[in-house]
Amino acid sequence: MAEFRQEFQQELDAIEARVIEMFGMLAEDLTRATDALLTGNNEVVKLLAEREKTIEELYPELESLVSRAILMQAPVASDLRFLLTVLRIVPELERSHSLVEHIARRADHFLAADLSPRTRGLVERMGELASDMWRQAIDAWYRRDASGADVLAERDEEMDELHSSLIGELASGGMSIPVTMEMTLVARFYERLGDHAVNIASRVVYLAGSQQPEEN
Amino acid sequence: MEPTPEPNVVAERQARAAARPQDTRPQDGAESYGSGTTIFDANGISIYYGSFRAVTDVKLSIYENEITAFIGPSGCGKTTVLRSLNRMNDLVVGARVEGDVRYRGTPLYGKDVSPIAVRRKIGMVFQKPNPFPKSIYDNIAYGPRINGIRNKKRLDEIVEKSLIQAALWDEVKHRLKASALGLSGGQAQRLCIARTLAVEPDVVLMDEPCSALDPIATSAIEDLMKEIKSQYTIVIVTHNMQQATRVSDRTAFFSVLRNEESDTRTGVLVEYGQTQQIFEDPHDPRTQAYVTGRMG
Amino acid sequence: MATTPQQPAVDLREPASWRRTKNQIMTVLMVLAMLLILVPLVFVLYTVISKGAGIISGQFLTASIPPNVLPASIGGMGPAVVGTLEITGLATLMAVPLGVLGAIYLNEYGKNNLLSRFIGFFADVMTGVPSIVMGLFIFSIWTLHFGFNGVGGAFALACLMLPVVIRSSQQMLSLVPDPLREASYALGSTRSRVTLTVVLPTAIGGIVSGALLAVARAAGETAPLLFTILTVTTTNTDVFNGANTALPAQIFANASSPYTGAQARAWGAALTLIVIAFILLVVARFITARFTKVGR
Repeated sequence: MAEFRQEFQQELDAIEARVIEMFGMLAEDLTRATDALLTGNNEVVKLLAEREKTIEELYPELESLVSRAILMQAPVASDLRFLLTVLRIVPELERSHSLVEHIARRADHFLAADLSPRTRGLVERMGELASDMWRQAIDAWYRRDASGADVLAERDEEMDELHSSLIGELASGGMSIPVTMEMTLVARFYERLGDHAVNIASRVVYLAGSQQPEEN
Repeated sequence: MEPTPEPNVVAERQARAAARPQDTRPQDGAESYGSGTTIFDANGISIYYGSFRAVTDVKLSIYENEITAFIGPSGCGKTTVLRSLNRMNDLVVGARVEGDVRYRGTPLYGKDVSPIAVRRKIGMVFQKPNPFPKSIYDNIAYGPRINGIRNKKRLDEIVEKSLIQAALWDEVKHRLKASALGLSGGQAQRLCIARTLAVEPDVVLMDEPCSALDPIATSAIEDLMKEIKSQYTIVIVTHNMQQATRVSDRTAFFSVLRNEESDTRTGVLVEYGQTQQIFEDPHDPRTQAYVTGRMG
Repeated sequence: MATTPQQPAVDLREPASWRRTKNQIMTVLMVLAMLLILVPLVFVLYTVISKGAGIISGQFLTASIPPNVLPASIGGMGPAVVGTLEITGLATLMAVPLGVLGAIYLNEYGKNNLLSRFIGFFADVMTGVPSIVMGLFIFSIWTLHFGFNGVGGAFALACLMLPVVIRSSQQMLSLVPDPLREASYALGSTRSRVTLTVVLPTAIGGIVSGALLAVARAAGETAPLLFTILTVTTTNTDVFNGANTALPAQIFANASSPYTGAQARAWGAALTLIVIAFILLVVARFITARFTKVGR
């Protein structure tokens, strides 16, 4: 089959590359942030602040690329679904990265040693789960796999359980009030990160469409 | 002011409405447009020119008071299918239709069906505006006259009503006796639509009605189509996919099947569905490739 | 908007080359050819007018033909003028309706079937039959049985006109764009109605002018009349009985006589004939321009 609209395809590829880049930064930084939070590593905070700036630049750039493609190429079908989906998930990516950065910033505020062992364990598990969910979301996006939404919805319940466990632990008053307050926020951030991953996976359902796989 | 239709026409439409069969439209969760009555039911029709099979095995139903668009690459047979719906293909030597195509339940190619009677019910607007070299008035009155209407007053009413319906009245009311050849392309095409409407058809077939027109004239025709679809059923062949998305309720995508052995090309119906579905989420990869412009 | 000052000059002149030389040679050749064509045309017209204009008068056009020995000032060509009008008119009445109807069959009904190809082929063959052969033919089947009379001459001229009328009318009918026919069919017209209300009115200008050209040609025919009407010296208004005369036959008879008076009358008759042909051509042009509705 002759390939037409190659220039448009290149534009789409460029947009996809940037989205993947944002996804990549997010997944990488999420692990780093959890690590920094638990070890009190200040170096990471600076690094993530840098990344936040990069993402803030990438965000409008992507938006203008997408609106330009919509305007100039009048996309339909999978092209239209792709561009619309990009427009919808990029804000989620941007917000998610802010959450990651917020988590990392907590590493500055107190020593990791202040955490009770159970809190520490729960935070560690939430961090791992969030990273896992994001990896799955990225995977679903990359493979245009609509089934990711169901998997992630299930995992999000796990996340919600961890969240309530952690809130319960914090409410038991085993730690100083400032630490408890910070950790409440951190718990909320992880929970939100999970929600964003679920949102993205459910956008992939629309993106994937209902096209039958090519037979020949 | 909108002239009210003739009492007998109203009665006929009411009788038709009463005789409507149950809604057989597949309820795929889509919003409802027309009445749900099928106007045409093609059940596996193939169209031949001599021994050459131009279109094969087309199955589709066209619904009342909807606009149905036929899209597809050149040579996919969409115009051929359209012209088989009012037996215009009969005029082509060697053309024949095989299979079952019904108009309101009656086989269109039945033994005692007169193509003349078919075409009085199912009008057609062509690719290039083709006004007769007569006055504007005589163009519109042509159809009613061949149907035996001679009364001057009655003809005046029909001409005015048809031109109003076709959104041309205000532009030409002072020069009804002027030659229709002096009209601009867009006006001439609206005149052709008015001429078709003047015989009060049931269905209007349109074969790329805007391909020779500029964007403004095109949007005038598109508005007009949406305006009249409450009274008529419209089938439109178009090369302009944006036009299909703008005006149609349903879209049928035709493609070309190449037979490598005999080196022939045959048109096939690939996918038929709600217009939004065809353009947003086509089920068939060939539709996807065509509507996104990846394949000619 | 000013152009950038430092642009290099672009040479857009045609490069001097063999192509340019060829162009000049061909232009000169074409002008020469045109002048060569003009020589016989102008010469014929000049001679006929200079020798014939002096004799033309009201008396010349109406008076009987005197004996050849009488000088040019006596008598005229009245019987020949009347005969030409009678015979050509009668031939026109026979050939034009028949030819136009035949052309309608060939173009609208026969469309490449065996019969129409057969007729078309023989119309072409008939165009090539020498006019004297046509005269002999009528002589053998008509004059031998019914004697010399105007009808025989009219038959001969009609036979000559028929293929020309058929072919020119058919050409005009085939120029009527198919979309016009389709538009009429799509409104539910029968074939006869399409022909009567769309095809003929559209082509009528061309058909009439084609017929008039055929008439002009027939009016100038000499050979077929020699065997069928002879020449007479007094006006014969009865085409069915008795020998008649016509301008071309009279020119032939007079020019071959040794008397200067008769020869002068032949020149006058020639000029009269040219003027008649000229009038028919002008009328044909006028009708074509006035009624041609094909295209824009």
